[in-house]
Formats: sequence, C-alpha cells, structure tokens
Amino acid sequence: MIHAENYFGASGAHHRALSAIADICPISVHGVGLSIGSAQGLDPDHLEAFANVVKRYQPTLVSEHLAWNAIGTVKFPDLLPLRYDDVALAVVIANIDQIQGRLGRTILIETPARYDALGQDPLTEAEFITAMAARTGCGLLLDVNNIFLTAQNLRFDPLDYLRALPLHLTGEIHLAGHDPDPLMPGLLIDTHRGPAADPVLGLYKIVLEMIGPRPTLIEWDNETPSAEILMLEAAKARDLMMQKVNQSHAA
Amino acid sequence: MRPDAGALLAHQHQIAQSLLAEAPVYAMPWRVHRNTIWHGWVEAMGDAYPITKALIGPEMFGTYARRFLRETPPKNAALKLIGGEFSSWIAGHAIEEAPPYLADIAMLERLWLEAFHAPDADVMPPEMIGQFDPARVLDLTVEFHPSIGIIASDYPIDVIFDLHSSEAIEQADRISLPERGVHIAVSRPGVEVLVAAISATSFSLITILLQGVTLGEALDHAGGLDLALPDLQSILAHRLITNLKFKGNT
Repeated sequence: MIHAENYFGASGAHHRALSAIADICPISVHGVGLSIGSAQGLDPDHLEAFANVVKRYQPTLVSEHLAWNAIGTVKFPDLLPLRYDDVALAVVIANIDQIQGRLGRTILIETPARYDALGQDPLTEAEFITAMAARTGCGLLLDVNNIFLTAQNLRFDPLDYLRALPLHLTGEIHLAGHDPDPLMPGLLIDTHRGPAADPVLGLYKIVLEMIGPRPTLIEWDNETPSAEILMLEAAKARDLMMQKVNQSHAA
Repeated sequence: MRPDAGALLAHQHQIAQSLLAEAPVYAMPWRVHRNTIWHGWVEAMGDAYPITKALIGPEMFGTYARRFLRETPPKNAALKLIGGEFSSWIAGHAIEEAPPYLADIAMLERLWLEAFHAPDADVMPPEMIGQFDPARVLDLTVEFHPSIGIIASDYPIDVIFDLHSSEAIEQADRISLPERGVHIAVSRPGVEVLVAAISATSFSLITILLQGVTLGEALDHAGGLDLALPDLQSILAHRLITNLKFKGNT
C-alpha cells in the first residue's frame, strides 16, 4: 500500500522505486487528502494528481477516508469527522461520484476513527455508510483498529456496528496500533505507532469469520520499527487469515 | 460548493478557524484533532528544516514553526514540501538568540528539499558545446536542470551545512567558521542532491541566464567573454545544464 500523495511529485527516484515494486506485486493506492467530506467540493488539482498516480500504477485497490481535511485553501494533516445527516451524505456521495467518474473505477471508503459524537446525528455511522455505498457503488475498507477504538470511545458494541454494515462490500482491511489519550482516561487515539492490540486482533478474527479473508495491511507508519518486527506483525494477521481458510476447507 | 451544503460549509470554516487559532481547544473531539494536526505540521517542518531546527533548538523551532504556519497554513495535504516561505519569514522576523545566517541556512535547506523532489532530467555533457557553430555560440540560450537552485550568503553556510550534514558537528568541541560569504548552486543531476560552492561570476551568470537571455548577453552582463568564460565552463562542468538552443527554437 502506498499513500497516493507521496507520489504526487515528479521526482524520478521515488517513481523508479515504486515501479520496480509494482512490477512484482499488486499495489493498493490509499489517499489521505481528497477530503470526500468537504462541503466546498474536491480540489481539482488534487484529484488530477491522484488520478495520475492511479493511471500510472494501475493499482488493484484504491481507497480514501470517510472524513474531511480541506477547507478554503488550507489542508489539515488529519482526518476530521463528519456529522451523519442528509446534507453530509449528499456531499460525500457527490464527491465520491466525481472521484469514481474521473478514475473510471470504484473506490473503497475507510471506516473512521472517532473520539466523540458530534451531537445527536439523525443517522448512525453504519446507516450513513450503507446509504453512501448503495448510492455510489463504492466498497468498504474496514479499519478494524478504528472500529475497535471508536466503539470504546463512543461506547457501542463493535459487533452491532459490524452487523449493520454491508460487509460483503469489504475490499481491504487495516490493522494498527492505538494509544491511550494522556488527558482523558479510557479515550483511545489512533496513532499507528505500535502493534495492533490483542482485542483488535480478536475483532479481526471475528471479521474474518464474517466475511472471509481480505487483503490486510499493518499500518505502522509512526515510529516505524525494523522490517523484521513489521514482518512478524504481518505474520500474525496472515496466521489468522490462514486459520479461517483452513477452517473453510475442512468444513 | 456542493448544493445545499451552505450550513456544513460554514461549520467546516468555523472548525478550521478554531483548529488554527493560538488559543487551545478543549471541546472534544477537536482537542484531539488539533493536537494531531499541530504535531504533524511541526514534525514535518523539523524534517524539512533539520539544520535550522538544530541551530535554535527544538523548543524554539517549534514556537516559530507554529507562528509561521498560523500565518501561512499549508495548502498541500502532502507534508514533504511544507514550509516553502519559511526562510523569508525568518528573515522578516526577529528570532531570539538566532545566528545571523539562520534565514540563509533555511533557504539552503529548502533548495535541497526542492532539488530532491524535482523532476529528473538528463544533463548535457560539457563537450556538447563544441557541436555548435563557434560563430553562433553566443546566440545560444541555456536550459537548466529542473532541480537547480542558487543562493548567495554573507556567511559560510556551505561549511555550516556540511558540518550539520555529517557527524562532525557532534564530535567538535568548538567550530571555527571562516569569515567569508559564499555563492552556492544546488542541483540533483542524478540520484544525490549536490551542494556546490560557485564563483560570484557563475552565480551572476546563472541568475541572468535563468531569465532566458543568450550566452552573449549574459557574458556581457558578467564582465565580458574573456573574464567570464572560465565561469561558464565551470557551470557546464557542474552538470547544471540540460540543453543549449538558439533563441526561439524549441
């Protein structure tokens, strides 16, 4: 998986390295800046640069986040939450339609990390995502760490949440580490700077039971450890996936 | 704006203002997002300007990076080229306990970063100039490598840059800097970014040639053919040029 925005530049060294990788394994392009929740609409330059990366590397999977980060000319380096109402839904649908129209393919939208509710939303997150997927044809990227920590932060059952999603649309899964907030006891922050916690791996196992294996990414992009440790983390996920595959064959 | 999204747009503007403001945000979840945003921005500024950060210390650097970013919030979601105007911002502000060459070092670090991310291009072998009709060589214009950047400083920023780019700065008890200024060309003709001291005449030649004038006009500007020819040869030898062509030809 690569972040699309890291390949917006023209520098040949970066593109040569990625081309060499793309020649030997499938690529997943993950956007962090299209800002599909922006009420002002998409930045046409950003969409063009994104489309150029997709055209150049012909990735197997393309994904973005259910969030916004652009307003006026400012771009924030974080994924900001949306209210779940009809106005935000219309904005997100219009933006996804524009992206998919430009790319000529569907994309996956990642389930967000939430730290608090934004008031009394008329729709639940699962209802919002279900409607978004039905109206745009987009797929889902299940970030199991995001689902786990959001469920804890907003006090809901992650299994209820999973059961309410159109899980058959899942094209990719993310696992990552989180940390406790230093100020508010019980609050978990999506930090990507450590291994996936055991309860997250437990929830991942349940997801595999529900939908079967999917391409899974270990997101450890802060304080990144050695390749050996990263490979061990990937092996944990692979083992869980293989257990599911073997169970399916045995049944 | 997306249709019927006026209230959401106003809400997002309001959130953005509070995230950018100096006053802390206590309301959840924006407190967490504000911390993430500013941590990400200041870290990225430190990655883009490591020597500038080392010269004034991480705490002071963080303070000034925040002030700079508050005045000119990033317009790009990718952080690798954050802080484009930081050197001129430093030059325009009184930075506490900063060495006098801080803005020049920041500019040199910026040129390095831009060269690193610049497009690739094949450099012209110096001997290719011999292929042109000698009677018309002075009518040629120069295409420079897309990674080129030049800077003139009253301080030995090349020495300071080299010291901080190696481990020498950690091993030295006391560094004696030469009392001189320097002209520098930064480029990336291959994989590595090169930082080279050049003559004042070369600097002057590159400056005017970048405006699209002919070699003849540039040499006149730099003191005439006899005086400036060695500098022109030096520019060619530094692999800063990708092409020579007659004005108007594509």
